[in-house]
Amino acid sequence: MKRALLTQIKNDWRENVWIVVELGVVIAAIWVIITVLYALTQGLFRERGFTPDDVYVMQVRMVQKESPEYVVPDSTAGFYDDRNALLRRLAEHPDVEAVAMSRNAIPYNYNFQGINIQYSDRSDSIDYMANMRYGTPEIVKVLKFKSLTGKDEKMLTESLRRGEILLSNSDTYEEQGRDPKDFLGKIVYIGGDSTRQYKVADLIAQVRRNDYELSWGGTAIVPLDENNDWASHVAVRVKPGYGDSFKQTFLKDKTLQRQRNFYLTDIKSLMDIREANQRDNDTTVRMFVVVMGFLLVTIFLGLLGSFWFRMQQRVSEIAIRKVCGATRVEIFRRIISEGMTLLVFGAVIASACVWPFCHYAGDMLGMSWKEVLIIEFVAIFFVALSIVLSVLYPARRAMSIEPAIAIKDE
Amino acid sequence: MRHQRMMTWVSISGTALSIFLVMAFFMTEHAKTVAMSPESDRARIFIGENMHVKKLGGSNDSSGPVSYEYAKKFYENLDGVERVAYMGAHSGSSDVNVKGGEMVSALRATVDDEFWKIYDFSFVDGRPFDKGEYESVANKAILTRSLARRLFGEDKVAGREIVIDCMPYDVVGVVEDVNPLFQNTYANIYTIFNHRWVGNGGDAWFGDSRVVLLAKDGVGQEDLKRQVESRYTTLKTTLEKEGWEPFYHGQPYSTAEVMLGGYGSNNGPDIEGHNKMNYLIYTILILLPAINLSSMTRSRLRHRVTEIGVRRAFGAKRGSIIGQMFGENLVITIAGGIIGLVLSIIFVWLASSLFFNMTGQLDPSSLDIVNAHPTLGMLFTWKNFLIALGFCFILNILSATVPAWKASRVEPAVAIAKSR
Repeated sequence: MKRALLTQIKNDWRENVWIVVELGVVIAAIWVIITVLYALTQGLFRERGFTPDDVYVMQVRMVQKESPEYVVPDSTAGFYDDRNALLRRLAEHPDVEAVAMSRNAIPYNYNFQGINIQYSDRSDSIDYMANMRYGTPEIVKVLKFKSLTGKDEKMLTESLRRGEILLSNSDTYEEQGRDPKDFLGKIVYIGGDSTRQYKVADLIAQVRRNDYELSWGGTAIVPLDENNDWASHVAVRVKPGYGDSFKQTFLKDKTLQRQRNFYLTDIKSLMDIREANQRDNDTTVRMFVVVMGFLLVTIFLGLLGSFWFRMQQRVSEIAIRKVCGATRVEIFRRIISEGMTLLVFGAVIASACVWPFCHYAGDMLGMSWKEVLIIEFVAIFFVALSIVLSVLYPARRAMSIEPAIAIKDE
Repeated sequence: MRHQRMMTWVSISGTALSIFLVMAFFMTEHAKTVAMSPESDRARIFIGENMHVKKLGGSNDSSGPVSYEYAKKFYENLDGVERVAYMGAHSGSSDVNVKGGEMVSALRATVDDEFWKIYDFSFVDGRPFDKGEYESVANKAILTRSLARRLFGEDKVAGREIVIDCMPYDVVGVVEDVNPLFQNTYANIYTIFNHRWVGNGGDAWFGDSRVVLLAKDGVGQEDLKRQVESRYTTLKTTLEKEGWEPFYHGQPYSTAEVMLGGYGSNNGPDIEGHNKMNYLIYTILILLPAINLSSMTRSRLRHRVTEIGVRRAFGAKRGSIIGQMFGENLVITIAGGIIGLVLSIIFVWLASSLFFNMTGQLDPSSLDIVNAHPTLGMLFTWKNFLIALGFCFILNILSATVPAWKASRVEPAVAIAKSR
């Protein structure tokens, strides 16, 4: 049967060359698209390091001295007393679980306050590069940072309260043969500045800038002093079930918004910030999926057209096979085998075109040849599915004609 | 075509799908640069905004928005420029309220009096800023219609008072809302650009300024670039004495460069690279369906071998056979093209923001910006129609050439014998 099939394909070679080229081009295109999609979405499958649900973010602002609303502060009060009173009021609200101030601690923005961290004894020439994220100790509870050593949120919060810092795992640091765990309990200098020394309390999962991004160094969570440090943002974790309603609750209650010259404004849910920040990545992924779907539909229509004509031409051949005792399954298997044989030739063409450039995937996207090979098989599978679907209807239609009628027509 | 209904519909569907996708890509790009109110003069508008300097012999490399002082040095009194406007480099959110009323977060742009002469805003009430208000950096504001309605419940509010970031402002005008796709003009509220602000005591060349140039008719971008580059060269000599080297990155930028170029303060837009990528996408989106459609066309023609043989036997020339095949295929392509064009307009109008980063911004400040999508008026343009027609012709030529040529080579005797 195999030899007969090959002979049949050879006899109709003019027609088949077109289909093989068509299949080869589409496999190559889908292969490339899946490779890019895979590279774009790798980050989505990595641990996030924090939990963005039920978190709201607000900006901290001050009334300027020129404003008629400015209240001359009490000379005995601390500069940040009013701000801290406002935050305490917010933390005591029954819908709220935790409140923290942040300076670049909240993810979903493209800030990268990169700085090198080194052992205080300068015993290692390789530094740990960190994105500096500053927050008051409660930031751990608001964003639910995940300890890699099994510590709970309370322990991490206490560490920050003691003035210690948290470091994350880091691909770039580990690629240089170093283990961030070695920092645990050690004193480090930030930016090579011996006046900025901290003890490393724990190792947490990396807090990336968004869900798509892979590693850009590590993360350092550094405590802010609420009595002395300015912070541009306040982050609030609300209790489960209050995620949708808290914004309205906040906007209705003026006492939560302002304390004399300090006020909180521009409230946004972290999930909305996430959506805005990641829209560029989301749209790119969606667009690639649509283009791939388009190519599959196009190849489906193309193959449907080709096989429609072929089946019409071969009605009598199918009839003779049925007269000779072939079952519908056997005939269908033969038609599918023909399509799959053409697919194999197409795959060879695609491989010949794409494999010479595969090292680019390795260099640019950090992929191994095994991953590229698996993606090739996935692309071939999609095209095979298109072939089966496009053959199904014309083959069924051809097989439904009574053999006697088909042969009589001939 | 009536005799081969199935094949005809498959061909039309394939063509429609192809034109749909390629036009969706094209229209999305075109919508970002289309000239419409308030940016009707986009072809003549150019933007200067950033400064990039490096410490000589060191690693200190700084870039950011240019200061007002240096913006004037680079862009004031250029030959061929009709108007120059200064505005804040960044639009940021501000708290706006009517005294005692609900506080609303609004995107605020700071602009001068010339800004309103370069961009053709549609005023619902009141007027633009005047020279005196700009010079004195008066607390005057212009609202968009939707913000005016949200604050006051009506849009005729010129002369009323509002509070912006706890400071009182007089409303002097109300303008129609601007689509967020018009990045140079989009905001909810406009106040006067503070040209007196000299920065936070840092380097004199960095600040918060953006310059909008309206070139005279017939003056090209290259003319302006040449003049600005020459001013950079002059400045370089001065700055080098102070140990700094300025870098010129091709400013002022055109609207297309601003909207499509993907650039930062320390590099220029790469519009050529962007266009090359687009051409590659269009080629793939046309070429792959063309191979499929060609295959379908050949299948249809193989059905008609006898007819072609008879026509050849009665003296039909090869040219006329090829012409007929192209004509028939063109009917299918045009039919599919019209369906594809209509579908793509509906798609881009309703759902483009789900599949394309319409504003090109990497880190947009609000969901309003990421959800921006073009209006129907931005999509129903002659350019879009003609481009779709052009793609149909290309698709027709690509998909019909080989089958038509093969059909014309049919030997009459062989064709008629085959049919028996």
